[in-house]
Amino acid sequence: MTADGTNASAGGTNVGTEGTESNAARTDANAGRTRASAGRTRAGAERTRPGTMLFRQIRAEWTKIRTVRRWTLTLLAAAVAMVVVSLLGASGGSVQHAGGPEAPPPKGPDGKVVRDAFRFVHQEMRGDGTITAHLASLKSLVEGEAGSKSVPWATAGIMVKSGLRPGASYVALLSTRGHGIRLQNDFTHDKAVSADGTWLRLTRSGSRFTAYVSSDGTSWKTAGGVTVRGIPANARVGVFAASPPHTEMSRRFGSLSILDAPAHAIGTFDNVTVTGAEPGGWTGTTVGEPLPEFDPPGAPPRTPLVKDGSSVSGGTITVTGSGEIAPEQRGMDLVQKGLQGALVGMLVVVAVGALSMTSEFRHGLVRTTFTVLPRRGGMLVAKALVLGVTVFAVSAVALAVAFPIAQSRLRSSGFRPPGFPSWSLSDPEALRAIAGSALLVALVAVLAMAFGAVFRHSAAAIAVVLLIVLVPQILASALPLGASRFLLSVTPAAGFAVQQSQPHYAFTADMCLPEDGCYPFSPWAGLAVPFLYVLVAMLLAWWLLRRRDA
Amino acid sequence: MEIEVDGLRKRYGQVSALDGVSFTVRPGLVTGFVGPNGAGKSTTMRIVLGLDAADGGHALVGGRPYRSLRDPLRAVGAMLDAAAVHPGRRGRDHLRWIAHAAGLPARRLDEVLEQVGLAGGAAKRRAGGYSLGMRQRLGIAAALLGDPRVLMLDEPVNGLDPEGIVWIRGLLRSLAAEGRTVLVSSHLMGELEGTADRLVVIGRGRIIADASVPELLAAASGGRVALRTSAPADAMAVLSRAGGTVASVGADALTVTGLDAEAAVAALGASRVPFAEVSAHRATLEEAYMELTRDAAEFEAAPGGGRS
Amino acid sequence: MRRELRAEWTKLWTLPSTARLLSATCALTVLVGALVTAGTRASDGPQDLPKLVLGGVQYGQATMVVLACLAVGAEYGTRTIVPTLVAMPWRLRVLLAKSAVVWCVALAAGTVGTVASLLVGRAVLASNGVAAPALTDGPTLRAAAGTVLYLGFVALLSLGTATVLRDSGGAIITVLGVLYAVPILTRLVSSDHWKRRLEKYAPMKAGLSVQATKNLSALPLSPWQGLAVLAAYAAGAALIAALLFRSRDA
Repeated sequence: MTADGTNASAGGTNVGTEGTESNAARTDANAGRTRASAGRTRAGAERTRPGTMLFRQIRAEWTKIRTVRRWTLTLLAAAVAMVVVSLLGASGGSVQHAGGPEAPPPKGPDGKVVRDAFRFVHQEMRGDGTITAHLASLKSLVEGEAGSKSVPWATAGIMVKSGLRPGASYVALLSTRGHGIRLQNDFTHDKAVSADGTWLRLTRSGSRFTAYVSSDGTSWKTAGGVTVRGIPANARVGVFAASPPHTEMSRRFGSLSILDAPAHAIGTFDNVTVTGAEPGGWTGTTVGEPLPEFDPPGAPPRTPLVKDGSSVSGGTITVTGSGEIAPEQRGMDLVQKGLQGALVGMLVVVAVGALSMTSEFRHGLVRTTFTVLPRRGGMLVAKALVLGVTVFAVSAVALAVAFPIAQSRLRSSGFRPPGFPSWSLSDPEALRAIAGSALLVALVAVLAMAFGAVFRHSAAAIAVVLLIVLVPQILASALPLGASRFLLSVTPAAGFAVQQSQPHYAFTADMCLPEDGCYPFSPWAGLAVPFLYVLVAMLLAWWLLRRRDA
Repeated sequence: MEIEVDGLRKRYGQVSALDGVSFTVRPGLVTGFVGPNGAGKSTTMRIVLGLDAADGGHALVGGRPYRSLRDPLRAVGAMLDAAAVHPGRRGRDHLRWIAHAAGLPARRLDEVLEQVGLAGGAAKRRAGGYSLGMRQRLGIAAALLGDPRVLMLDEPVNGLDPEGIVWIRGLLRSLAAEGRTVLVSSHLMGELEGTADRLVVIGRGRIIADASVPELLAAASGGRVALRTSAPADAMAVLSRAGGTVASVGADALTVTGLDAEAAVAALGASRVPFAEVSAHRATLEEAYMELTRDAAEFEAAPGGGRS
Repeated sequence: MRRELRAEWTKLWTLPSTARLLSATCALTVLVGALVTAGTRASDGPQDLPKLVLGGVQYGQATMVVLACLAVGAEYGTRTIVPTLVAMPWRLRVLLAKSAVVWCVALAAGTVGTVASLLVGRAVLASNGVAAPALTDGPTLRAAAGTVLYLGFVALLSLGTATVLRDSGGAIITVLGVLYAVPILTRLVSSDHWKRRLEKYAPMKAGLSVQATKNLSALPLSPWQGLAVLAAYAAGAALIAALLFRSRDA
């Protein structure tokens, strides 16, 4: 490679791109750059190490992207769009607090808001001990039109709880209508028990709780154990029942209707024995408030079929309960709401990503690039790094600016404690969501760039990226739930999971609906999906770049 | 049909691309339109074709603005940018939509393809696979399609091989000989040497010269005469008396400006001063051009040059 | 005007991408419609079946957007706008001819996609034991004709946007963004007031209300009003495009 050869090819580019001013400027800048690096390459050709080579390529790509005024402006526009849309999305909402100020929701042992409502028949247990009960029957009663249905998460079982205050630490071995026997503690921990049976036993030894299941009351199988340190020596022990409301949902092309009907679980226990308890009778308590029941406006008031309650006669205890023992419903994710601009910014950035590659082919610039720096894979990696880091930085700054303002707007329109958590930049979930969103935007930009190298056509690259990033989210609300979750798992749209601040717990009755912004994966796992796409697209682009003529 | 350009002005932001450009292109001649890159050649042609709007002045073809011509492709054939072909379209299809736009019969396609040497397989290939020279020929074919009275070609020689250059020179000469108006731009004077009858030289958005080729050459050579003499002092006296400016360039060598060779010989002969090797220094077109555009070239080296 | 139409028609059909994009539009429309319909059972209760069956156009429109944006964008991308305007210096006629040609192929693709969707949808519904709607009753015909027109207006909106932006990539992003991103964002808007407004005046939501055949009183806009909103967007884009195309340098 000689400097003369480089100049000649740069000149050729110049003739070919006698077009807009920015093109001319870019070509000139590039020609200058190529001359400089050509000189250096010749001087040190023997000693050039791959690392140095990549560094040069990165510098060259940085100059390329920086010197096209249109792209700089587009990146700035993306940043502005992110801020503005995030603020718009967070503005103007309002929350109505019916019936005066709400009582603060219960908080679990880890300080997170939880749901804790059930019927508990209990006595005191001092120190270590064991509770054994035979669950003779578990019925699920749904009121109203859906009376013939049953609720899969209707539960009854045995429990050790540190007190009757909602949110108090607990360990429970419970049986459900539709999801088998489970060992749960402290709201967010759940384990399915593989053993079968109707006899349940829970043994406490210090902070260690061991669960046993039996089908006949004589031969017991260990079903699992947990260590819970938050339960004091004097704890409440007993049997309980709870049932979330029955939910019917129909979704068709973006319209969603959810019908909730109150439901109760009726658990009938016999052979209930407690060792380590004070001698004394059972007490029935309704822990927490059952979920509020909304009657459709104008409907006649309903007379409930059954009421929560309990009866103890001899060795048989019947518990009728409604409510849930579960982490807070996903509901409105304020973090996600404050970061909606990422989606719009992403649209804009896709253009820069695709064009940064396709313009090389369109204007024949790629010949200059490959003449000066013949390692084609290096060019791809350098471009991806420069584009990714630039877009990440721009998006991260924009979202970090938008987030606190969006949160303060949300707070001022009623989304504030005690009903809603208050988020700031110092919360790890918020930081994760902001950094993750910026990473997602950067990944999509790099994906567009890689597709640009595959298709060599900006319209094709852009359309394909938008189709696999945007359309799944729209399809998701139209397709059956299973299909939509599948779609949101296998397309780069899965990456939006990183914006969620609240995890979805599969062991609750709550549905993970794409309409509510719920994604199937956990935040980082979701982000791994677009990352895999980028990896595959880069490999494909690399292979094609090597194989095809420039 | 003439092309008349009168007082054209055009700015792109801060950069003045055209600053009062006026000239006329006459039928039956090949008129060269030369100037360095960015001098305003393409802008002028774009304004003539109604692609860009002038900020001032006007450009007429056959006495009318291009956009008001009834049948523009039969009046004017133009090639501004040979790369302006969709790479996914076959060469023949590119010509076909233009033929439809001008209401021309399909046989014109074969005629012009034959004329530019693209008949056969090449025209059936997609233009994305064309070489620069093939694109150039396709662009010229499009310009010839309507059998126009006026032809405007921007840098037609670009990318052609030597054979192609000879071909296009012949084509331009024959088109002019048929009485058509031919305007050909170039940034290299050499390309037009032997082809153009007249030259319009543009630099920095202004017309620097508008003359026939012999006139330009004469102006550039400036009547410089070189001679040798054994009596330089006498010769200098005689020649300056005759109205020349004389410079001594060696022991027995002089150059004279302001007198042509015949006048110098006559003056020296009349005074019986011995002399030998009288030669009129004849400038090449290239030299004339370099001299004319020196200022414009300086401008071109400055940053922020406008579009050509 | 005849010459412009012929030239634009030739231009469109001499590109290999045109046929591919049009078949993709039809195929996506039919395929997605059939997929969604396949999930419907008689037990789901009364459904707006024509709307369900024709829903595939929401995805089929994406390739139509690409086609319409390329019709203008590629002219600027490949600089063929220069030979175009040299051959046809009357710019409004060029734009009109281009719009007419694109509108025609959009309607043709829409008709094929709609009729095929209805037939396939009926077959799928019948195999699921759902009573399919008659093809010829008034609301179904309105939904079908409206879907065809919807696709036409989307094509015009894309064409106008591409003319304004003079860049196919930017235009595709803008149009698909307006069509698709607005509904995604609407889900998360916190203000109910704005949510309703966005649902009422977002081009895709409004335009597709022409597909509704049941429960019309619950719609924010009547079917034809909704389509008129989309038509207004398309007309607005076309108007700005015409003004700019006429006055700007090529």
